[in-house]
Amino acid sequence: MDIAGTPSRSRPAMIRLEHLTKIYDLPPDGGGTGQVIAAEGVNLDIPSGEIFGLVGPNGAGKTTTLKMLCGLLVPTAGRVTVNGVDVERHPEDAQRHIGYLADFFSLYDDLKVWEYLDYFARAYKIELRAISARVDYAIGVMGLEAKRGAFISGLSRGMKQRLGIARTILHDPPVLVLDEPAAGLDPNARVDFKQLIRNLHREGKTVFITSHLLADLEELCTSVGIMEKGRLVRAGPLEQIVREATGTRTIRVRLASPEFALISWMGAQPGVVGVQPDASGARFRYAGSDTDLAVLVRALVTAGAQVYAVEEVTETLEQAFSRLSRGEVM
Amino acid sequence: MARALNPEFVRNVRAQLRPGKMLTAAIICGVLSLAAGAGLAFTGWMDAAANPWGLTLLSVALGAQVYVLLLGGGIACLHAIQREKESNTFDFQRVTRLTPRELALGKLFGAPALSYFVALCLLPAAIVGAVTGGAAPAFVVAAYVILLLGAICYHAFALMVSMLVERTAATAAVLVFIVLVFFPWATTRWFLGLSEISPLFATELSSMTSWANVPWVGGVTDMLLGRPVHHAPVLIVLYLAFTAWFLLAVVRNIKRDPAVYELYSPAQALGLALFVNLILIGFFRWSSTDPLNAQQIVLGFNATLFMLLGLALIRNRDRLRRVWQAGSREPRWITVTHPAPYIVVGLLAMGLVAVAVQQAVQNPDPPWGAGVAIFKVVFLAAWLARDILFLQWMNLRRGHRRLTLGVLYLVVGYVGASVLFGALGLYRTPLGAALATAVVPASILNLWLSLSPAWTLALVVQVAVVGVFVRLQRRAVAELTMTAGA
Repeated sequence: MDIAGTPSRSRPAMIRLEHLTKIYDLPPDGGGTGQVIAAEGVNLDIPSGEIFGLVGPNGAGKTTTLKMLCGLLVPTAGRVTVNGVDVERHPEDAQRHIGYLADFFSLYDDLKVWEYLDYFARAYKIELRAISARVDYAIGVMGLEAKRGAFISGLSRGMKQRLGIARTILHDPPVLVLDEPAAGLDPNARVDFKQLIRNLHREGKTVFITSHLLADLEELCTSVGIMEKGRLVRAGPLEQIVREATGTRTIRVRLASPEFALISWMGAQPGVVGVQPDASGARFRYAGSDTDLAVLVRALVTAGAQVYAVEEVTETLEQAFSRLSRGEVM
Repeated sequence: MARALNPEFVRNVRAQLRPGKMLTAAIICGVLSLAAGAGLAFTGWMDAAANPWGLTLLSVALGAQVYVLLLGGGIACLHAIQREKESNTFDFQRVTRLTPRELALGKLFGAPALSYFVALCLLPAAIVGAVTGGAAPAFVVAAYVILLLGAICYHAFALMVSMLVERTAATAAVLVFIVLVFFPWATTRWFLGLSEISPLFATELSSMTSWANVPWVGGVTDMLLGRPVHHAPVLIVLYLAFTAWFLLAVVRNIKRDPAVYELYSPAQALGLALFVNLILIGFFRWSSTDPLNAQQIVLGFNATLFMLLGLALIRNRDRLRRVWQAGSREPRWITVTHPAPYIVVGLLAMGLVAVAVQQAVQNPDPPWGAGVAIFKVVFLAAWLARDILFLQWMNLRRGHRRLTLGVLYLVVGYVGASVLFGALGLYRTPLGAALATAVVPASILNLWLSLSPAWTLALVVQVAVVGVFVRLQRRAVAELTMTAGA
């Protein structure tokens, strides 16, 4: 799926997944075909500068997809390119462009914070002269200055998560691949983390992120993909996904006086479904266009209703995901 | 300068060589060295003629260094990859820009950093011993070269094992490694003109004063193609060569997805077999080994070697799917018979070379059944093809540890059949022995003089069973590629 659905988004793909498939075997008593298709023919183009959120229930194949993207798992079929580099054929070159954070990870407890970052700076082959500046930058961005000389074994869970993220941005990769990055962060750290991602986005980074915290993703992401049983069922700009998930728009009408029989009037109009009473008015789902809606509102006023507000109620990503995962939307 | 060093090496050094830890290690080594030195000096003073205490101190210090490096460093290398996989830090190394070679070398020299430091702390005692004992500097240097190269070779082996073993097998791997350290090639002395391959030879070498070869007594002089050669250069060549083979396997795989590990390519595996055979044939004690016995050893060794290489080449389901999906140019017949063709070709080639060498070197007195020897080689190749295809087919079936299960089935099958055939007295008659060989082919090695039709029948049975397993594998491949392509 190409998430560059609109002309403004038609930038060259920074991440490209082509027919990406991963099959795992089940033990013989696992039933069925004896295999799990963790990712099935996933096609995805993510333009440069996008914050792409991948959501889906546990076992949907998100982590498997991320690991194939980073070159950690060999796909059963398909191809991954990052910044035009084939991840499987030229892993060292591709990894220059990727900063990766796993969902469950450990650090080297017997190193100090700066030593840990220094190690990865060397491993990512940052120019020797620039290493200390990059280490200082990563430490500063993640607020680890006070822990610079501390052993990692003595850090709290949240601090370790910050250090993990610091490692991810250390070599200034154009692509960040983050698997549940906010897990384990306290509320303040989550706010800081979201701000960091926004800053990185402003710098032009492409971020590929998975999280169960859909509200966070909704705040951050410019586009999302929804995975179900290994298939990428939807991908695109956030607002488009939400719109597709609902199929119709939810409209709320508020009246100045309650005398008008709004519920019955609305229920009789074409294109209006699911009318429900709402505080001083009603809420309903409407399949028509903006022009149709304007005509409807004019008819309502002409019918004698004292309309003082008409607003479109935006569904949250969480609601959209819930609809999609329940199969309400095909 | 430290900035330009291998990052993985620097990380290990930083983590292991903290000042406190170094000081503690240095104090312990100093105290032990002093105690050993004082004790030996005192006994030497009591009986100067019988006890050259300086050389003894050198030998003790060198021995301690060998054990520290081999055991301490080896176990550190055994944990170097396996522990990282277990604690989820290994993936972060795999996604860095470190090349496989850099990562492997960083671990090879970095993981045993503390052991190297302890060995360094024992060096002053060795120097004092060498100086006071009047050891020849060239031999002391040679001893340290052997110690260092030997340690690196054992560490490379441990690193390779660390890459392959899972958590549950790690303890077993440590035990096997300890056995290897204490009993390297212990059982080969009686048929190879090759002295011990343990770096402990360094302790012996350090107190020598002449490079002259001495008659082969299982110590200083080896016999290569019937000529005496000093054991020190032989050891150095062996250490360097095996280090290269072990490192090749590590470098090929260390950054790969573990599901598609493949220790060596078929060509590399055949190269390793050729190299090991060169050692075997080159150092074999042809002159003092009975011809039948020599043939049994050489062919039996090759059968074992190619079985191990076959195990290393066996594919799992992931690898086969990938071969299929990647549009491999591999011919279909290779896919459904893999890895048998490589094993058969290798064993036939090496076996026939061994038979030819035996005829040229030993020229056994009549009756020498050259045709029988060739038949044995063919039979062994068919046997190996049978078993390796069975194991490959097992590994393509669904479920956990199918390969281990397959090996277990083979072992149980062979032991059970051998006991049963023995109880039935099958091995007492030539016909019975030939028929039993169809199931338990190892007894083919006892064949020497002539063939009966029953042996040919046994060979036909082997080939027929090979055909059955090829069909089974073809079916497994078809099922796998069909579902992968669906």
